[in-house]
Amino acid sequence: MPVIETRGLTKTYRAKVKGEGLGASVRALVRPQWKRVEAVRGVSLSVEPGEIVAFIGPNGAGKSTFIKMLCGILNPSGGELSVLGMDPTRDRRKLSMRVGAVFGQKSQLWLHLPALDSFTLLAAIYELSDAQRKRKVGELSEIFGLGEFIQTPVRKLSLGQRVRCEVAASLLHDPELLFLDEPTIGLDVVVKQAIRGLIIQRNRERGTTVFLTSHDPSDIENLCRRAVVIDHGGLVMDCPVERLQAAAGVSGSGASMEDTIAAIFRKGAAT
Amino acid sequence: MVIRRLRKYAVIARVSLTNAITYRSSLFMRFAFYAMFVYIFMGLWGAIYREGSVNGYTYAQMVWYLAMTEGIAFALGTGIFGEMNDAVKTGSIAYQLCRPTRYVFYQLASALGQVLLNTLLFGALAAALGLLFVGPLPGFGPRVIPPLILSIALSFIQNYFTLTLLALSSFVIEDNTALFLIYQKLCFMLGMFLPVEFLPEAIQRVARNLPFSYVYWAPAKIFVSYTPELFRQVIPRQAMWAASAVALAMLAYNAGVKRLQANGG
Repeated sequence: MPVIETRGLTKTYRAKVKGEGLGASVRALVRPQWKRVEAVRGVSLSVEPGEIVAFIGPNGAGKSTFIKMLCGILNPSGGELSVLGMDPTRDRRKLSMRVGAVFGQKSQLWLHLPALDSFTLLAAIYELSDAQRKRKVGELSEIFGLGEFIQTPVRKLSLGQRVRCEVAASLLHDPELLFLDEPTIGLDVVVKQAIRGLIIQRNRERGTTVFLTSHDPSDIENLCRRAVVIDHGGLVMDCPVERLQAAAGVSGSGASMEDTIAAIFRKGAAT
Repeated sequence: MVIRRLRKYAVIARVSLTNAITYRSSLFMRFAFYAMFVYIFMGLWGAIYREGSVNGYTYAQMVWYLAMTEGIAFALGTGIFGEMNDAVKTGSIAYQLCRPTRYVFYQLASALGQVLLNTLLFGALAAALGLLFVGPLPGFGPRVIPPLILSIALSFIQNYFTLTLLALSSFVIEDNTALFLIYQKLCFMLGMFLPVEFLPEAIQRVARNLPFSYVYWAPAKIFVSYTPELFRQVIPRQAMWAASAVALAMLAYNAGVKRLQANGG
């Protein structure tokens, strides 16, 4: 059974529009005007257990909206959606017990406390017993090399150390599906490699399905076997990573992954 | 299973408590502000009270009333409105909804950790200042403690869920800070700064039928002049306002989450 399955998934919302200047502001106050935005347009997708999928697209393509629907945070406007056999909108809390998420620009750790306290909190949130918590924290601490700084307040950690804690925190409850939204943003090359290594290790050892969004071509090249490209809310491409060059029409040109992705985005913008 | 589910909220409160005691300097600053407020208002009331009592409050009762209302204000000051308001406005509430907790109760448990600590610390400080300046409160004894605790708990619930309701109004209102300011000022005028009995008759009647007085005036009144009759008058109304605030906040939360539009990364 697919871990993620969507059929014609759509999300539209209303956004306020207002012209420039004081007059327009007053008019908007009396009679606000709205426009209809199609953030996701009829996306059909299926992800099998154990896959690592790159979900890519230019800024504003609808990636985050799509992931938020998969997590059950946003209600779809149309289409069908199933994650781990559940309807995320209806079973959001039940689903969250089996899903982990790292949103690169948002932290799930308490800034002023050591990561260990956040782990204790998250373990309670995911209803782990004390014995399970100790075992999991010990195991993740060893794998992610957190021992040196697990008792240091998060605000005093380097970005690389913090991201290692973030990823470890998302794995405390052994999720079957992991959403990684720009997990390596702002990290140096060495730390990026370390984080990628840990994700691959997790995927191989536990069969964790990974759904990754990233603007870093190296993440896609080194982590993913399949790439799904979205633009203007619609599915543009869904193919193995090694066939991206051919799909972008740049095969044989020696184009790097960055050039390939840029070509796909430009193609999407032109259509 | 149920115990594990409840335990998570206890752990949230504990971690929040740990977080609240991380910075001693901030705590001492708030202590200093509290003592300053009480001292200034004590001077003001001292000038007003030449002798006897005003509107049924002696000077000692007035100082203790002030120590109590200011203590509650400092104890309840958890910044919950700003935190939830920002979470809705920036869309970061979306990330908290990814967890197997109820967002409103997660925040409640988190606020509770801080409020418990604040109540203990500011309660001790209030007791110390009251004893130092006007001596023991006449008529206060062990029999007052259970109704007082109940009244403070209801005050906390009413205030927390009202602030939640106001913060969640940002699902539909773009700038809701005015609502917060109005709520704050009404609570300030109708019970925190002045006992309700000090207001003109007509305003008193209105105030007793509105929720605002029950946050500060009710527990402070029970503290300084408890009688079983007062208990029967005040506690059912506090319970009613607290229950209304919970119901409205939960309605707003459920409606708000359905219309959540969290776009962009």
